[in-house]
Order: sequence, then structure tokens, then C-alpha cells
Amino acid sequence: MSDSDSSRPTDPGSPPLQNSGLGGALWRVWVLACSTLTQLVRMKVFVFLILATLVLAAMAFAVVTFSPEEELKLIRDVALGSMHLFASLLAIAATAILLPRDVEDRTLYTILSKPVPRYEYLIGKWLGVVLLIGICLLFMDLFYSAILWWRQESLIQAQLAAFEAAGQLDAGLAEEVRTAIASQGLTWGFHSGAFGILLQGAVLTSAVLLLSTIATSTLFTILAGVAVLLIGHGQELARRYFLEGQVSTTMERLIATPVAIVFPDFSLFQSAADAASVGTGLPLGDLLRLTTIAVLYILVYKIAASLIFAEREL
Amino acid sequence: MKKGYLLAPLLIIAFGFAKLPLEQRHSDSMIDRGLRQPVDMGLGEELGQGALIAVLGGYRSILASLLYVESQVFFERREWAKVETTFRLVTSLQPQFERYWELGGWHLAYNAASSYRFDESRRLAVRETLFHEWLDRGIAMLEDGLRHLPDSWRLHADLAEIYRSRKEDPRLAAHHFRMALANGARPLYERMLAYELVLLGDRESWQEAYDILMDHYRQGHRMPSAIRDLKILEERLDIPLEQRIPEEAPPPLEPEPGADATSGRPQPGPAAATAPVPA
Repeated sequence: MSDSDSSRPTDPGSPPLQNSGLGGALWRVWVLACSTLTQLVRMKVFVFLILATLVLAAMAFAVVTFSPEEELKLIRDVALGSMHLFASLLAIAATAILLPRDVEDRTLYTILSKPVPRYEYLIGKWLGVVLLIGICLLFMDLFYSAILWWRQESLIQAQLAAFEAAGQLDAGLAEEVRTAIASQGLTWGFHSGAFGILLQGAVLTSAVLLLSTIATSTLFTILAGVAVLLIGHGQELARRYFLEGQVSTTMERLIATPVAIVFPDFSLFQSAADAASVGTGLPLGDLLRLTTIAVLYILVYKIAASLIFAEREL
Repeated sequence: MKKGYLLAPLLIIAFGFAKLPLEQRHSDSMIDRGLRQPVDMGLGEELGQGALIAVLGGYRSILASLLYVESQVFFERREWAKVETTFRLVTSLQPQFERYWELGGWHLAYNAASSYRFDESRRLAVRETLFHEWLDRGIAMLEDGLRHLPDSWRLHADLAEIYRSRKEDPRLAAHHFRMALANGARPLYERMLAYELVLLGDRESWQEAYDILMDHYRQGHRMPSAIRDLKILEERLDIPLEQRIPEEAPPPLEPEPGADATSGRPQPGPAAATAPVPA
């Protein structure tokens, strides 16, 4: 089956695409998302993911550290770093190729010739990429959680055995060793870090999809996507300049103002991973606020992309 | 011009203005609670452009880990200035991770300071000057750590240990042992506090030390060092004979659990249970 076949949103036994109302729209978006996911999976994304994850995990063990806590932190940093790398790569590259490829193999015309509004097409594509990012992050989260838990337990046992052999082990020390090592091992904070990365990936995907509705080439979309990611991580500086009046020259104001207004603050989402890195993790309230901010970004970028895509000549 | 192409940027700009206070409030709240670090462009000069891009790309924590690994290479080569610079960078990138402060302070106050003290290629006066200079750098590193993590018992315990064993300042050592205890350090440090109080010249400190050591004695912690100090305090405080402990003052000290052989006190180094062994 060709990629274009896989993108065809018709499925025997499924509700007809002509269904009006919210149910029909949701179904069409879901079918589009699933076909996008299939389309991306066929690009051997998972093979690359598994190989790269294994290599990165091996790197974390290859480095000599002084203490168990440092070893666990290094594993956690490699885990969160590779999750962030994958989520960003997929959000930029996978999204950037979707529209040009659908135009190239004429799948887009097949889909839009049916009663599928253009905004549903965009939402379906976005959801497909986010599903792919979510599946990858879930796999990596489970993989690294297993490694962290295994290392944490083996390091605790090794430390306790060493103290016992030296005749220094008492209940208080055993508890302290267990707490110190476990705090740097597998905690819920690690999963909250992965969730923050997923939110960032979802926002980045919607920003790149918006870019691809105006872009004329895949390369432009990828480069612009990378720029959005980098500037988004420094957006906080521009925002502080803008809100706190720290700019002194007109040129600074001219740069800081658009950056603060147009770009999303990715460092906010990254704070979940940073907190996980030091072994704490964000409280639930902060995660909920981050989710709200992410949803707002996605909504606005989706509406803007739909406004542009609705009038784009294909 | 097409309507959609005009409305889309207007929507993004309007949302941009609306979201700024929301982002700012949330960001400030997390910074206040120590949950995140603001981007510091001043880091760019020290990190180099490539590493700064990594920070901007969201790889602050893994960059800190990699720099930390690099610092171990400098440590093995005894390039102390580079060790200090690298730890300053690492702690700037992730000031919430107390272990980096601990290890930075330990490298400077123990490894670097001792390396200079025993460097026989220099004159004795120079060696001693450098020893104290690096000791102070280690203390400064730990004090900076406490500014970011004021509730860290481990940083207080590390400082106390430096004042006890390297600076021989029992008053500051006692202060930091007291702070470590107030922030959740284990009871061993209470005994450490008592040992320092014994060295102070006032009766109030001796009384406090006596109460602590007697409390531990009643709980069965009858270490040679505790017995030694209790015997000293019984004399100083004129404790009635019938209230004195029956043990004789031990002549030579034997090491207690977690203590070094010469002083009967815990070994220097980071205060954690899983502390590394100094090279």
C-alpha cells in the first residue's frame, strides 16, 4: 500500500465522512490522525528511536561518576535530554514534511475533495504528529524508568552492603542512604518532566504546522521551526525586557517586543524537565497551569493556521 | 490581500499581548519557589556560543552533567582553577542540585587546598597562603550554595566540617552543625555539635554540650570521644560525684562508626551518606 493509500480517510465499517455534527468531525479528525501516524511510522521512526535510545542509555553508563546520586542524575539527564531531542526533532521534521508530501503525492486533493473542512485536515495532521511524539515519549519513559529503578535498587543494595561490611550500618544510616539514592532515582517528578516535554512538543508541532501553511519549501519550515524552538527558549528574556522596561535603546525594543509577543515561552515547559533533573518535579498545580498555557497556544496557532490554509491556493 | 492572511497575524499579536502577564506570573511563581532558573545571557561569555545554544535549546541539565564530568578530568589533572571555573558554571546552570555545590566546595576546600599545602616545590609560606586561599574558595562555594538552598542540611554540615577540621573555628563549626540539625541532619551531628561546644570557653556552651552528650549516653551511644568529653565536662561543670558516669576517661581514642582514627570524628568530605572518598 502506498503512503497515499494509507492517508485515505475511508475505512469500511466506519461512520461515513459526510456525517455532520461534532461526532462526524471528531471521527474525521481521528481518521486523519491515524493515517498521519501510520504515514510517519512507515518512515522507520521507531527503528531510529530504539537504536538511538539504546546508544544514549549506554553513554550514560559509560561515564565514570563519584557517587550513586550522580550516576542516577546522569541517567536521568540523558533520558530527559534524549526525550526532548526526539520530541523536538519529530515536532519539527515530521510536521514540516506532512503538507508538502501530501501535495506532492496528491493525497491532499483526495482528502479535500471529500466533505472534509481544511481545519479538520490540519487538526488531524497535528494530532497524528502529537500521537507519534506521545508514543515515542511513552516508550522512552518506560525504558528509562526501568533502567533508573534497576540502577537505583542495585546502588542502594551496594551501598548498604559496603556500610555493613565496614560495621557502620545502623537503621538511621540505612534510611538515609535509601532516601538519598531514591530521591535521585525513579520518582514521579521524572514522569512530570516527560509530560512537560510532551506539552512543549505539542505546542512546537502546532507552531511548525502554522509555518508550513505559509511556507513554500520543507527546508524553510524546518529552519524556521528550529528558530522558533531556540528563540522560544530565550523568549523569557525578551518578555522581561518588554514587561519590566529593561530595554534602553530603540533597537532593543524593536527586537524584544516581537519576540516576547509572537514566540511561545518554551522554557516554561522545560522547567518540568529541569525540576525532574534535580530530583524534585513540578507540583500538580503547576503542571495544570502549564497544560492550560499549552492548550491556549495550540488553539491560537490552530485557528491562525486554519485562517491561512482556508485561503491558500493548492 | 486575503482576509485570512491579515487575521492570522492579528490573532497571534492579540494573543501575544494577552498571554504575557500569564506567562510572567507563572514564571515568577516558579522562580520564587526555586522550581526553575531564568535564562542568564551572562552565561554565554563563560559557556561559549555552542553551549549557550544548548541552554537555549532546552539542554541546560544535560549540559550541567557533561560539564560536571569534564570537571573530573580537571580534578585528575589537578588543574584547580579549571575545576573551580567548571563548578561555577555547573552550579550556575543547575543551582537547585545541592550535590554540585557540595562537590565544588569539597574539591576546593579539601583537594585543591591540600594539594597546595603539600606541594613541596613551593616555599612553606606560599603553600600556607595558597592553602588558606583555596579553603576560603571552598567555603565561598558552599555559602553560595546556601543562598540558593538555605534549607540544605548537607551544605551546612559540609561547612561545619570545614570550620571544624580545616579552619579550627569551633564557634562557626557549632553554628553550622546547629543549622544542619535544624534542617533535618541525623543525630550524629548533634554529637558533633556537642564536641564543638566543649571547645568553646563559656559555661552555657559546656552545659548544652553536657546535656546533649548525656542524652546520647542514656540512649546507649557511649563512644570513646563522647566519654572523653563527658569526663572533661563533669570536671568543668562540677557535676556531683553520684551523677557522674562510671566510665574512666579513655586514654587513646578508638574510631567510632563513621569517624576517623585520630579525632574520633566523622571524616571530612561531603556530608551525604553516599559521599565519595577523597583521592
